[in-house]
Amino acid sequence: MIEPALRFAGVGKSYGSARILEDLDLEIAEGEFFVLLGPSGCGKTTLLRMTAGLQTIDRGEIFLRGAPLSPIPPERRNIAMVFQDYALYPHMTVYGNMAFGLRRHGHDRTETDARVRRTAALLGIEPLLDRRPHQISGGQQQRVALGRAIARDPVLYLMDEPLSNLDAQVRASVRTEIKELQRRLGVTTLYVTHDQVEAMTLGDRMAVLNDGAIQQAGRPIDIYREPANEFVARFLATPRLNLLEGTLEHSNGSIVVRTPVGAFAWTQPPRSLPATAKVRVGMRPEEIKISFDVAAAGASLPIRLIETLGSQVLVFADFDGGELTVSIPADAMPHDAQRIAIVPSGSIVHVFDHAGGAALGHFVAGGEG
Amino acid sequence: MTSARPYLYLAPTLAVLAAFTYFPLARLAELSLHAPGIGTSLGPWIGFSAYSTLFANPLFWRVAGQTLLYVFASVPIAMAIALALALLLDQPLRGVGVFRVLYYTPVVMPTVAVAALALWMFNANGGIIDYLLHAIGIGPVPWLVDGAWALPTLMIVAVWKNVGYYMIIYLAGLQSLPRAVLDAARLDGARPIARFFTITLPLLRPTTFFLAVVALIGSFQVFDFVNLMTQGGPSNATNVLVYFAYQNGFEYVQLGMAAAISLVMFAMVLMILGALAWAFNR
Repeated sequence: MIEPALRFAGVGKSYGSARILEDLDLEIAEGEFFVLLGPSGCGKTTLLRMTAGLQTIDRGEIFLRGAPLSPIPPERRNIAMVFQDYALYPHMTVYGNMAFGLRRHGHDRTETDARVRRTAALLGIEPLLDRRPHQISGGQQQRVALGRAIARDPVLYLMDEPLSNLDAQVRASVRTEIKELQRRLGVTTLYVTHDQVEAMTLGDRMAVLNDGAIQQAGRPIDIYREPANEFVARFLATPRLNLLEGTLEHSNGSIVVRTPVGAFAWTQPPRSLPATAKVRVGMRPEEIKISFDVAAAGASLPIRLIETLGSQVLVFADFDGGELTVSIPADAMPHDAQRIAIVPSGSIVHVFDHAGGAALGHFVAGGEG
Repeated sequence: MTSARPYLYLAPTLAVLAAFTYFPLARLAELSLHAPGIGTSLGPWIGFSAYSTLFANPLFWRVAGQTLLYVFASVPIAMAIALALALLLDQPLRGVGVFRVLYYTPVVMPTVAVAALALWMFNANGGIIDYLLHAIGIGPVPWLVDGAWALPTLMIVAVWKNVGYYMIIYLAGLQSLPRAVLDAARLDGARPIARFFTITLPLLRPTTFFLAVVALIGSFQVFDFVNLMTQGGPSNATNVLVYFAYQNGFEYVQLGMAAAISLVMFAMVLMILGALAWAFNR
């Protein structure tokens, strides 16, 4: 077996009696862009800081290319970190910021200069080399922070929500830039964020954390398509996941999932499903098919509110016992719509255990059930 | 008339400053050019003769030199000790709060009490300092009785009294440093000593400047320890500018001379602060 670049083996952390991180196992391959996604307080930053050496590991061990990290102080780990608020040295120029780590790692003046200039050229920040951090914009500061990490040519990058202080426009462009850079440099990257878009777009693989435990790990698209539990499904839904009470009705090999907004045919259910059961049904706004031809449909829901996002429109409709959020293309939205009808066929349904929230299955609903 | 507005808002402050700072200063200058008696009259105009007498007096130069020595030795030493203590007390140690209180205690002690305590501790006849030094084979040291030792002894006492105040200021400075920047330096490979000199100390620059200004002004005005412990002695070895002015004004009743000394000192402080500001803003 090839040793992974970074391996977490039973890594846990407690503050007093509070367990911040359950003992978790995770392997990150060489050159992989791995994203830790979770709400604030889920332990993702703690995990990152433990990898950096800025916090101690209470249980387990982290291995970097097979070597245990805990005996090595952060100064000698050859890991570079990009901080949320950039953490540039305010009293040094951009050049000084990038040269600092190189000089500390024993590179001579010529080598340092060459590396700083090469990295600056890569990031397009050469004109800023003589400026101080307070003289440049937030986006530029973040680029310098990236440059400081890149110039060192470390074995691992740690990034702690590096985009969250940037405004939306800059954020998108720096995000693309980070992805391209990482592809180009091929350095293993562990990236922490609470933003699902960042996680989806950046990660080769990702792990969703909640309450100090990994909820699910895998490729972003797989996690999106088949969330392991209600939490993951909810976290990867915009603006929110529709969660409905449902029942499973078995009829000759296939199953019908009945919900307050309609019945969905599950043509190829897994064998291990409980015989009959109450379940919870999750549907993302963009996974629900609707029609405005209310007369043709049997049942319909009154529209309460419409939000136009531009290319997409969010339709909020009331049903008996709750509210359904549906996202459709703006040009599919009639002006005078009063009601919507749910079209089961083609809608994507996630079925969760009623008690624990674990996923029982995911399916694209077949024809009328 | 928008341009008049700012001055209107500044007027109250300027009025107070004028009444309690600039006017007395001008009055002091006026006084130094006359030969006032004991009463309230200015006395006859004598021009700059007080200054020429002062500058011709070798004792003035000695006192000025001693004042500068006192300031430039005790302030950096006190600040260095304060910074070292602040670095220690910035650590997440058990009982650190108790130590902070202990180090700050001398600051809130009355100067008279500190002076009395110091006189007792540095007493030439079996003071506790000599007693402790004797235990490790040093001394006895003629603390306050020898001309060479008296001024350093006063400095020790002043440092002891002031260090807690400087320490609290440095501690506040340390605690407001951006932690992430120090973390970044660690990951960049900087060990503790390097981190201190390349990151912590430069980032503390505003704190250091503030403290240097406050401490320089405070030390220049040293009077109470001299008055309470040595009265400038032995044979003027601890005489400093403020005490010298006090002697001239209140012992020799030379108010014009006392005013001249005060103004010369004022000019010295201004120049030194100017140099300091220039050095820090470079």
